Amino acid sequence: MQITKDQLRRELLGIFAQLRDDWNYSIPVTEDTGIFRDLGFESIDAVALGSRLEEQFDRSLPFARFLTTVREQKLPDITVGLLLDFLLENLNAAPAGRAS
Amino acid sequence: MNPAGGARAMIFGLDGASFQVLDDLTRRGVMPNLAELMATGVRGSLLSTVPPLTPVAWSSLVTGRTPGNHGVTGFFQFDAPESFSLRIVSARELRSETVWSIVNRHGLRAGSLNFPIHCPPPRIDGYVIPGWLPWKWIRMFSHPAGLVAKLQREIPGLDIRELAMDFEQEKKSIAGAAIDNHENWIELHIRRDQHWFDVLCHQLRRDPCELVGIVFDGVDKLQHLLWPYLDPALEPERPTEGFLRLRERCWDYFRQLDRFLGEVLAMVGEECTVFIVSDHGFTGTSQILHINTWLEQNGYLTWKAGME
Repeated sequence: MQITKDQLRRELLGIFAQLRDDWNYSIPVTEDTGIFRDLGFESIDAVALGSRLEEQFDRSLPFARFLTTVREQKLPDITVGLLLDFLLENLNAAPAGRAS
Repeated sequence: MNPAGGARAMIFGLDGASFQVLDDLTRRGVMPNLAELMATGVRGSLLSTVPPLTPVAWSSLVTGRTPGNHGVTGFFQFDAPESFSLRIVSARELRSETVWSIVNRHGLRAGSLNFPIHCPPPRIDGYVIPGWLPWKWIRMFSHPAGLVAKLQREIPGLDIRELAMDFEQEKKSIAGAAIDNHENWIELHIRRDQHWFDVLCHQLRRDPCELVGIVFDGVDKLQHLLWPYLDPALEPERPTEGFLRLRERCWDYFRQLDRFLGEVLAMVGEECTVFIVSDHGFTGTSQILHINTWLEQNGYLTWKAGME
């Protein structure tokens, strides 16, 4: 079953809401929010986020390739909107399952 | 029932511990509890995994399988079979059943503290606080949900920033770069392992499990940076005051570890089987080959623009 962008947005914002207590960010998280610039992520946190997303959706995601692409394209940040697009593309394309 | 609520087996993990150091520390009286246990129990040097790396070897320890079987072969793995993008290995790569789950299958509970490759945590009957995690993620990645917040309420002084890893400092220590103050590094790990021990004691009393495991990784962290102070073979003939002072601080770390062992043994009682285990050995080196530099110097490698 295809997952919609609205469903994904809810799930993703739910993860950022859970992080709020430890990360001390007070700004509202929107699709324009940058995880490095606005939320204070470091590179290791981006990796942890990838693990959290895989756990949430119970499937392997090419998150390392995504991070490489972001770096190669010299994008200034990873926005929540960019994450949504990545998830939408990969969750609706890949079959559910664990890493092998 | 023993004071620790019925633990029948315990894994007391010392990351990177080697008899080369432990034998010296037991001889010198730094670790009397370990000395007694080694004298009255069973000891042995075991082969590590191939490769002898922390994530690989602890994965073998908790699964009883070789890396080829359990699937964790290093710190990094490829994103996908056809991909050249590397990802930090996670529990999702672990293909074999863990001892925690096996224990559960037999109707018993298990608790796991600070084991590498336990993130995302296996949803076992018991509890898991994974190791090798940035502190800001430790609440989210602990099992059951709410565990760490509960521990913060119930354990006075528990600092999850110190309980988890500071990856910036880790990078410096692994690279052998100057940590501003070696004594600060030792003291950080004394405090850090004290936090883990506090969590262990709390869980032993409040959340009984038949199998409990914990990894103290300060051993590895100290040895990466301070091996010359710990390897008896490298002891200078005429040690300076500075050498002796720093070695004493290293020994303080191991004294504390030995105290933990003594207290745990008293808590779990004689009916509990205690395994003190390590994942790999350690040694020093006087030469390092920077392979990319060698390849470049000999014309086998060129850098993309901006990558030098």
